[in-house]
Amino acid sequence: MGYLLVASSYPIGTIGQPGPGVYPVVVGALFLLGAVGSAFQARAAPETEIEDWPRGAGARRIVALVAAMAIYALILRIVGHVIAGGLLAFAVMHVMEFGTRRVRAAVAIAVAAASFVLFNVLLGVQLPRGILLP
Amino acid sequence: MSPLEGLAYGFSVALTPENVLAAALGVFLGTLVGVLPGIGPLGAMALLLTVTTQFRADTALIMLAGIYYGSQYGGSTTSILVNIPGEAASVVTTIDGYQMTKKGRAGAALAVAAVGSFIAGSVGLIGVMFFAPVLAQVGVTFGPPEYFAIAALGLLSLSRLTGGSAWNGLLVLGFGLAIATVGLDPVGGVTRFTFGVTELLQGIDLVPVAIGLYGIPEVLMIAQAGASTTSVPGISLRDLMPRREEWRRSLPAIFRGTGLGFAFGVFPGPLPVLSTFASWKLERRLSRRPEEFGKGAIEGVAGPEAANNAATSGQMVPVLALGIPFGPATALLLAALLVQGVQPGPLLLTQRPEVFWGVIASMYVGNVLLLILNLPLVALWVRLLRVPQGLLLAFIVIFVMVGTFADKNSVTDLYFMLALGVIGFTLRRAGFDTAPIILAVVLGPLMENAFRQSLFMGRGDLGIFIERPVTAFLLALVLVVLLGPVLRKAIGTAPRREAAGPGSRA
Repeated sequence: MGYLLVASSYPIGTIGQPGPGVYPVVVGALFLLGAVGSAFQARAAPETEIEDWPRGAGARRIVALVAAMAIYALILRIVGHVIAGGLLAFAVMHVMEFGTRRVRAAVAIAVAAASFVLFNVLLGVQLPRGILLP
Repeated sequence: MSPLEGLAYGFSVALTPENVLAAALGVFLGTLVGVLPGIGPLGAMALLLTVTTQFRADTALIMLAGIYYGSQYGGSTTSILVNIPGEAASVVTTIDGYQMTKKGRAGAALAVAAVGSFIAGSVGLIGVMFFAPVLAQVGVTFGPPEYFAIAALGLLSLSRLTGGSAWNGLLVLGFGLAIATVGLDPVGGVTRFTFGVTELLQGIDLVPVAIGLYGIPEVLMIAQAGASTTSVPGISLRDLMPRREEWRRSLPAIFRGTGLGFAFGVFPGPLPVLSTFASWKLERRLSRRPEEFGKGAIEGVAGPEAANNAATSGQMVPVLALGIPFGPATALLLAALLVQGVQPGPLLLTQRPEVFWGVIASMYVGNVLLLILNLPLVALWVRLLRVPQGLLLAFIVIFVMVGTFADKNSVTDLYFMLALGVIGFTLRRAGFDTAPIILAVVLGPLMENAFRQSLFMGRGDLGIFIERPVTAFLLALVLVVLLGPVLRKAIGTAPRREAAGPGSRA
């Protein structure tokens, strides 16, 4: 509904000269129709348990992983990819309970360094260097 | 240029050292992402879109197409060895493929899948070679109304046929089309839905959308399931040889699957997946030993694998000939063309023949490479399947994050990717199919352009969509797709009322 409201604020034009608002209004109507239809269908359907919905430890792992990726994005330009990537890799292995702390640290450093070499050096992609590699 | 001349020209392009290497890398990476959980072919193709801008258009497309059909083979490997389909199109292969593994015939199943895919891919190539130029010649006569109708049919078919309810399909379709409207309006250049964010002026890029919707949910599902190591049987090269009886039963199934798959593949919708189910059912119906199906019947592997590969070839016809993809993977191939500055459409055949014929010929080269490389590399794939998931996930997450950032050197893209990833995961868990979203994102601007140009052409007369016979026919099919379930329900209840009779309370 929010999308449709914003879409209707753009010029609609005329049917012979449609403006930039026409198509988003049509899309918004489809979107809203689908949403309303899905909602009614879900209400009318018998109560079913969605067995695969995250719960307990699984849900915590998902939240932790998403948070780790968000923190990577936040600190990437500040500390550079090697540090941010290393921390992210360590966090992922920690969430998945892989190896001991030492193993995780060693693998994290290797992964971060290897990805930096692969992207920066071999593929020519400029990854942020941050404070470690000015 | 006749099809044979075109193919010969295509081979001259595809067999350059650069393009052979691109095809080899593509099929290797494709098999790898098909075998490993996490990114998937769509995520891998999206990530490599950035890298391929440094290559020529034909090289870029050859590599990305290699990932696409390589991943089909990789997906079958996990279906056969560990009963986990790597791709939706490999689901059917688990039925008999894994049963063959339990009987100690994993090698034979893998070999038949590889050879069947090779035969199907080669025959499918002949189909592409003849159909694509013909369709391109027809496509030159199409105008904006036809393109709008084809795109609408493709999107609605995919959203309806991927399973789930019509409302769910409409919801995800609307979501994808809405994403595509962010940024500059393609006709007038008016900014829409940017809310003052400069990075949104060019719209939401395809890479964070594809990774967010397809890669991140896979990663989160692995995280949800927790740490595990897959138990995989060992396979030696000696085990790969099927028995004579197995070949005798497989070959007819392979050819039937090829014909079925190609016919499915050229039409809009998730038809590569549907073709595998259709092939399995056909083989069971035709078999003298139908009771073996579900318990390790080799035809149950051979037919669907061939159908899948042939359908993959078939899907290349509309994207090369018309510039309209009918599936998410071919949508990314189209995006690769756009990123390279190549105008897709029916004129691709005449304006960029090296891309058109080079990609077709490279499909054959890629199939040969898949056959040569992947059977000896089975031991490698088996070893990779044994890697602890925690370690695997660390590599995948880093690769995904860096690859997304590298697209435009944008941290904002990372946030979009994560947000779409959470949305994609939620949609998947709630039973929605996210396949139509990426197709909607790629086709959305084309559809809007075609729609508005059609209205300009008609000077406000909506009859332009009905007066042109091709458009009218296609829009009639759109209505059938939209209203089909309602009509089926109405027809289904009518005979029951009639049978009940006048004295009935019904």
